[in-house]
Amino acid sequence: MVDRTPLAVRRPDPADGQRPTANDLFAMVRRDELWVRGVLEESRINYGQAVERSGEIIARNRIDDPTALARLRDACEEEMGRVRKLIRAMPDARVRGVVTATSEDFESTVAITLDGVSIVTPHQSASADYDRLKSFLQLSTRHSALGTLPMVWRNGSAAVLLHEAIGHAAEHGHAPLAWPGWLRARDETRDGRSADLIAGELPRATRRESFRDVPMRRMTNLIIEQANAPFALPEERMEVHLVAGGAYEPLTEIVTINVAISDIGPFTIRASRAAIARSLIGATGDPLRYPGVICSREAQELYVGSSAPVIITSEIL
Amino acid sequence: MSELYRKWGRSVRREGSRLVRVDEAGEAMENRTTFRTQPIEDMLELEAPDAEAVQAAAREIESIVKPPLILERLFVSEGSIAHECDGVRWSETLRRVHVAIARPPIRALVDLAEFQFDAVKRIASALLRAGGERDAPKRIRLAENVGAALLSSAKIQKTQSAWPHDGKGQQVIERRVENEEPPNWFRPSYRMRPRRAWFHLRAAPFGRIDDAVPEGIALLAPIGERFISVLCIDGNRVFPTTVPIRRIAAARATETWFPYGAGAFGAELMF
Repeated sequence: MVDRTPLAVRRPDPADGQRPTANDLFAMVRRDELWVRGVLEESRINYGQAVERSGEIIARNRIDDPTALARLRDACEEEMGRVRKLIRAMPDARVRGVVTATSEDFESTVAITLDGVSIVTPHQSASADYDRLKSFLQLSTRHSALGTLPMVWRNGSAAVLLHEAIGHAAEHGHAPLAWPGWLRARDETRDGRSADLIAGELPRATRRESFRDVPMRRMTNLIIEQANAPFALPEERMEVHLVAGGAYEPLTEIVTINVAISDIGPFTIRASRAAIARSLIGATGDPLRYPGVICSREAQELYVGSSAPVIITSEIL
Repeated sequence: MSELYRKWGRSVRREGSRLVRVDEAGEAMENRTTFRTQPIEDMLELEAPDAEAVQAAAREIESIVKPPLILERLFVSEGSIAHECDGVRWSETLRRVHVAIARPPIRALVDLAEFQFDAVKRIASALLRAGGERDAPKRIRLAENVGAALLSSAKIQKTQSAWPHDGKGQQVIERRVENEEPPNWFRPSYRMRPRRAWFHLRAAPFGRIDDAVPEGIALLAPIGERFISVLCIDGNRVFPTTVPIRRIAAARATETWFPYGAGAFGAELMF
């Protein structure tokens, strides 16, 4: 038996006795609140630190540096105050505000659910995206046979399709495919470092959901762009506005996309990433910010910023 | 009226190649409307988890899963936990194993609560011989680990097993599971709002399991609403198959406990 030291006398430092450096130490404070129709249902504060050395992570729910704890906690509380004001203006929704301040990053997101449809958005965009979600829910649907028409991916929703087909494939080290020459896909860290995902580069940022988790190379902000892409709006088409979720199966390279709001109602796409690469037939304009992707991998959920131009795919169902 | 729950925990886990030690404590307060949680910095002296046992278990799994199989996911953990809820205190030591073994295009999922790997050995050996997908056999029996995962949704008679404490410190009393609100509370983390659940399910035995029919020995995907995807052994053949969840013709309970939901004992089931 090893490691039977009582918790109260346990040292937070790595076993070799050296003090952790800024590169070894990760500290995090998180505040989150869930409001349902204007009533506070859940409120959490969570904090801790992790020290990593020689492949071992020692984590605890204490931040040794009281100044760092106060700074991170104050930043979270101030921001949660701002988020709360936004939430009060959404009395008909289920809204979760999550503010995370770490030694590496600061993030504030608001997840809004109306009529069973959710978006996740940075707090700066929450009010506008709440209005957008309401307008999406007013869209009427028509009947059409699935898989028979090209799809127009509006409002940046193609970012979700390509998050799965390009982003996760790159994270898994899968060989690059022949994507259209006009397509660009890069992931940007908050400090501006960029990875060309189409070329198969790994995202530059190492991210983790909490101090308890193992950090991994994960996307931070996916930006899809087009350069001189062809674009002709098909007369007969389906229009995708909002995506409920997606998945990439690394063993088969199959992408699954659950469309929440389209002009033919909700539906599911299941296709290989190669089929998706072949399906891209046009795009137009600058990238449009998509209201949010929560990306789950190895049971760690992270917010990933996402934007894409209007993109047209041939039928891929 | 508000309720106060506190939890202190020390855990060691192998996640892939990394060893992660976590010491954590927190409390949850709940009144009629709001559930609030926060960390506790005052720690109890808990027995340290056996890191060497965790490492040895991880190494054993790594020695079982050899190419062409891929050890896609490896979580092995041990934790010492103390709980307190409205004055009731209790403690426990938990072991958990989650393994995903891939032989593209399929993946077997294994969840265990002990560092005993006979099932992992059997599944790895079968995966090496696995062929392509085939139709589900007319009759199929599920191994205890697969049946345990299905048990909470299986439409058969089952009982909740007695246990000293639920997530609110109340005794879990053995009783038949009925189509009604469960009497006990499940709390997998202090940060999660507790929910009602049936604990430590056990299949009520009935019928006769025919040991000659093909056997589903591993889940290849989480349980679906209408289908389960399993690795099937039929004589010398091993293949993935998708089995519609239909009437269960026989059930036999085993003594192995599995970490599905609020707990389930092994259940050999036959469709």
